[in-house]
Amino acid sequence: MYSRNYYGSFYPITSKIHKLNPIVKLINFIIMILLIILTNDKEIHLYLSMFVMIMILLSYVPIKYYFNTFYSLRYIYLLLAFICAYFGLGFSDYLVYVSKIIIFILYLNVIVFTTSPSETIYSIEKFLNLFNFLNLKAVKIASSINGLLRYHPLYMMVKNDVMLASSVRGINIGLFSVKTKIRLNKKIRELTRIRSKEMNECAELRLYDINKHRTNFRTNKVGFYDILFLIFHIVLLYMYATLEGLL
Amino acid sequence: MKDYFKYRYTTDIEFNLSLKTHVAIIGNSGDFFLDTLINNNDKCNIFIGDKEYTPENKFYIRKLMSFVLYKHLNIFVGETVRDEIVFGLESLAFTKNEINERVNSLSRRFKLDNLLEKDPNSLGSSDKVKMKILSSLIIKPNVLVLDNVLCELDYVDKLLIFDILKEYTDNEGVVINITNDMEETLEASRIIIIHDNKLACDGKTISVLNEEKLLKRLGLGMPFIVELNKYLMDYGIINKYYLTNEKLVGALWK
Amino acid sequence: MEIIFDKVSFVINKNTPLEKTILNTISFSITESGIYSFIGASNSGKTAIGDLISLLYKPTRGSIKIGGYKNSRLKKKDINNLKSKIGYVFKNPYSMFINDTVSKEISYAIDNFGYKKESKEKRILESLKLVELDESYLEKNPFDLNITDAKKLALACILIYNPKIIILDEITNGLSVSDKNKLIRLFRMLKNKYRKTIILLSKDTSFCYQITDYVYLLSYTRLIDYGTKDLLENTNIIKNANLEPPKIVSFVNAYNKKGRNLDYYNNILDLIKGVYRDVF
Repeated sequence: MYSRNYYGSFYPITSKIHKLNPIVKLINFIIMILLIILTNDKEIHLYLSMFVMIMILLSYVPIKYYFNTFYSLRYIYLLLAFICAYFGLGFSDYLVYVSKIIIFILYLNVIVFTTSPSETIYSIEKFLNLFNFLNLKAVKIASSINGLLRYHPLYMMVKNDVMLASSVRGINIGLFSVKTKIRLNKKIRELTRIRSKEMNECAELRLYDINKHRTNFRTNKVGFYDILFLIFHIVLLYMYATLEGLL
Repeated sequence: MKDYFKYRYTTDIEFNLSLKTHVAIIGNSGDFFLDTLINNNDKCNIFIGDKEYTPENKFYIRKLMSFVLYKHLNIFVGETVRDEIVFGLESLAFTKNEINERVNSLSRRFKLDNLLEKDPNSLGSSDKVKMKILSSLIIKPNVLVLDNVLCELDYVDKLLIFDILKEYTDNEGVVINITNDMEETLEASRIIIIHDNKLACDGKTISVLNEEKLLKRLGLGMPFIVELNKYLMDYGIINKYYLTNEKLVGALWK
Repeated sequence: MEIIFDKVSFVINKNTPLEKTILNTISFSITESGIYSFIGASNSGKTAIGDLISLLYKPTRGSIKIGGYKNSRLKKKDINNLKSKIGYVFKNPYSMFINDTVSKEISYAIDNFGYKKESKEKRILESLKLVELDESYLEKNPFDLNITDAKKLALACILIYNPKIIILDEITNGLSVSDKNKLIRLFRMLKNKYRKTIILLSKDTSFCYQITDYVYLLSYTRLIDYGTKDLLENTNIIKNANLEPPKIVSFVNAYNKKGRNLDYYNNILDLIKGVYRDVF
């Protein structure tokens, strides 16, 4: 009710990262994904990890929100350790694989905390317009990607509301049996569906129409830091290309 | 004056509104009336200006008729107050400069200019209602429909919003206030009572409030000052309506 | 049951850029059953008091004592025991609804307590009768109700498990005059016959003036004054807290400016008789 969980939704303050242009952020994100998939080089992963740490510090979002996602994947780190041991890979290889997951998750978190939903839709739409020859419906894809990104925070909000509503009627959800908890989870998913339907109705009443052209008020101009970060990513791409002998 | 807003629901409810009217709709079927305005109903014919409201021209009609609903008070389409307010203008493809001008001047009028960068969930209920009304008025519609939202305002904010609504109706707007609070009907120039999905009464404010028996039968009360006036008139102390405390006391002790 | 707040402060999002103080060193004590109102403009922290009493959140500083238990020494068993004695109706009744029919919604509170089917149904009908909703509402969807019915349903959901403390957050917003009078009768019965403690969080001073025993005035996160109902007759303090004085009080004040001395009556009929006696 007061401090809704900011886990996974936009954190409303101003910082250097909030002021970046969303299209450049998206391009950097895609270059990062390409690098993670294509290479296992230790130096590139080290530079990317340092870059993500710098972005986290510059975004002024409290570190505990980042730590939450990092901590929730602890079983995956253990599973990876067993898989690496099974295949006989060394400790440094294990570190590279773990850092791939951490870089991806934390980078995604930084983007979600610092970019408002209207900006993400705008940037994905403009990016897909470059691929106009494929005849994709850019706006529809953009809004469904945005919906996927925002589903989890909405689910957590509804779950929090249901816990509060049960609590005030003298019920402690922690005492429920497993069967009731599963039924309750089903109800929470149903309520999330109702809540997102209501949000769509509200947007429709405010003249939201997927087929009509919209402007975006919030887009920031391309600035010094945008160009700096873009150059950093392109330099990493160049390093990868020289390593593979493509250049 | 020519009628701007015409509403027909089979033969049960029929009324016309001209520009520059502020009408209060009371009774237990306000919900039903609102539903026919938002979702097109087969048995319902609504004319705004000269255009009829059909499923095809929903977008066009919604540009002319704007809503502020109670159940959407905690649902936000933007992540900051400023994003929430400019959402309608973004949908109408306004440029950044035009949006900036309108937002800055109107938010100063509504006294929200120091809250523009905050999270809408952290506002108090009075500020939330002001933000929702501002975001509906910023697209300059011709008809504004309010559904039970004015009861959440603080005292000072209520006086401010009533001022703003008066300016809006003087500038050729129509305000439809669906409410259960009888004190708000004193601001309106006309009252329409819709009870059990039928039209029960329609007329000027004071003449409807005069119908004591009808209001009692439908379970509706009267504003405090009107009730006071009625009792004093029954006792023969005064012989016409005085609608403020000072005027009434002045009439009692001439 | 007693409720004692001792220098309670409530701050959210501490040590982050979004830190906000909701309550600042509030102290009061409620020991007997009765109707208590906390009045204040929006953003003054009323909802926070309801949240803290019903143990939804912990205060950042200070201590709360409810029914003999102090919040710093509460174990899980005690919390469950206390929660079944406190009921809280949210400001937005739709955020309390979880199920798809009214009957399931009301019985949600007592589903896991082992009641037999017939006595459950009897209790559901009784609680509906208390708030004056009839049987035809049993199969409706709570999210489709209008505001008045939703508020009544939320109250019925609380009354079914018979809590000792009932907290109501802005229950009169959006209700018509006849519904408010029905609520007044219901609260008087709950206070006199069943000895319950009713806490009203509201900015509707006219409603509170008619039934409350004690008034606490909140303004910008602080408790600036408290007293009996007579506090509402002090127009200066009420206006400084951004609230509207009760309508009877402002009329009587305007009347007494002409040099007369009219009493502050409780309802409009007595007021009319007093004016009539004074004029003639």
